[in-house]
Amino acid sequence: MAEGGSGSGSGRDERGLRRPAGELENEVLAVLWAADTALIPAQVHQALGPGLAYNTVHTILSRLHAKGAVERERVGRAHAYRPVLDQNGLTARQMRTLLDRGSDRTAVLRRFVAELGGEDEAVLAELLHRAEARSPEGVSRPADA
Amino acid sequence: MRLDVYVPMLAALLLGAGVGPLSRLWVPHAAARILVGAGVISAGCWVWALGLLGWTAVGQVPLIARYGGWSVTVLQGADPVSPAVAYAAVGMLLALTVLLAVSAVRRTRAVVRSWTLARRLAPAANGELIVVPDEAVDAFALPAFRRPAGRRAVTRAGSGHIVVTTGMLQALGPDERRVVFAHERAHLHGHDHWWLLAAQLAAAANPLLTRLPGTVDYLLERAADEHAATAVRDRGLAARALARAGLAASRAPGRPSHGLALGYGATAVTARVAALLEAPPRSRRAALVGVGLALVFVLCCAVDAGRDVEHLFELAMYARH
Ligand SMILES: [Zn+2]
Repeated sequence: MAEGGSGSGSGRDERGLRRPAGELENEVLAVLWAADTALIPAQVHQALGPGLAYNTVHTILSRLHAKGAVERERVGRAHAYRPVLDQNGLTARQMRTLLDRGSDRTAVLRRFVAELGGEDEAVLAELLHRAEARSPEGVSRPADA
Repeated sequence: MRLDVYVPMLAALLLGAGVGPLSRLWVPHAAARILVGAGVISAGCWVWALGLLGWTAVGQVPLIARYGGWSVTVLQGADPVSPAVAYAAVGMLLALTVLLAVSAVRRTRAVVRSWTLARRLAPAANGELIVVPDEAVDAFALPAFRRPAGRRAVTRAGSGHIVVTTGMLQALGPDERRVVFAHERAHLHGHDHWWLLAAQLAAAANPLLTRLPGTVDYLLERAADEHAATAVRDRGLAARALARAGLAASRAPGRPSHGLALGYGATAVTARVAALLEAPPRSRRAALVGVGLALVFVLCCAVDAGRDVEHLFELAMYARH
């Protein structure tokens, strides 16, 4: 389980931030979920950027596999990892139905981006442009990288 | 009694009108909590004051007066509240009871729905994270409504899960995803759903506070944004993540189309991005002292009004015996 991170369970990123194992697992899982195919550790390491040591990524992948959160297959001399699709979990449609039922669902669920209007798109594009100019170091394009 | 019973009403009126300007006096995290606290106290005093006004009329009903053992004539003679005001208060209280009941039922159903969602999604969780394969761009914090029994806190958030769709993950880069995770973690840590619930119930008890829940909702989002910006130590990155997620969401298929009906509306996401591009907000201590003093004054007036009504009825009882 994700005990607050001891030993190899936690890592430091390039800013010297100590990040607990649970958060690193989230980030590795997110990379696997965002990819269309199974990824070998080197690909995951590359996708996460230079902040994390390759060994840390490898350790996290092994731990996720031990937990049954990811499955792996042999590709040449390495293992390629992909997330396990949980059959007991909720389908997207069921989740949306539960989310959208009733007008007061905001009472409990705090959605990251909600209530967008049509005219927001142009404003957001402009703001995104400004944000990218503001912190250009890591302008990482999403999964197509 | 003459004046102080009306002070809670004046306070609620001022708070209801001033919610917007007040919300900008403190950092979002503090502002949300201060406004909810002020709203709950103000709504409580308002209901209490209505009850006092109404009771002076209800106490004059002969059957109740006989039961309570006080004199209706003395009460009528000494009562400084005009019957019209007293009966208006009674009518208002009845209406508010209905409103509050409706609101309570709605909120309970929303909590039950979220609990269902949490129970159904839980098997797919790894630690605090739940990924839903869905092209819709969505992410939210799903609070746990029961503490995980027996085990030591399973996740750092301790009390819930972060749910994110593959659509959201694909729309963002790795560093931007960390912003989303930190944002949702802030909601779980802050128990934001309970704060919003309190604001909604305060507004149900006092319609003058209609704008409170929407403002608190926005402040809680802003607070989570600020927390995320601090966690990744880069406001620009936080702004970028939010703007990209918003853009992707507005372009994605199957986006829920509830539009502006919920009040805060279209400007919320853009305003949040813009706020992240500005300097971090600051809190004004003096304003907190001011609000605190105002609340103490309102509470004192409410207590004093209660004493006055008590004396009134003691007088009427004494006269009868
Ligand atoms: Zn949020």
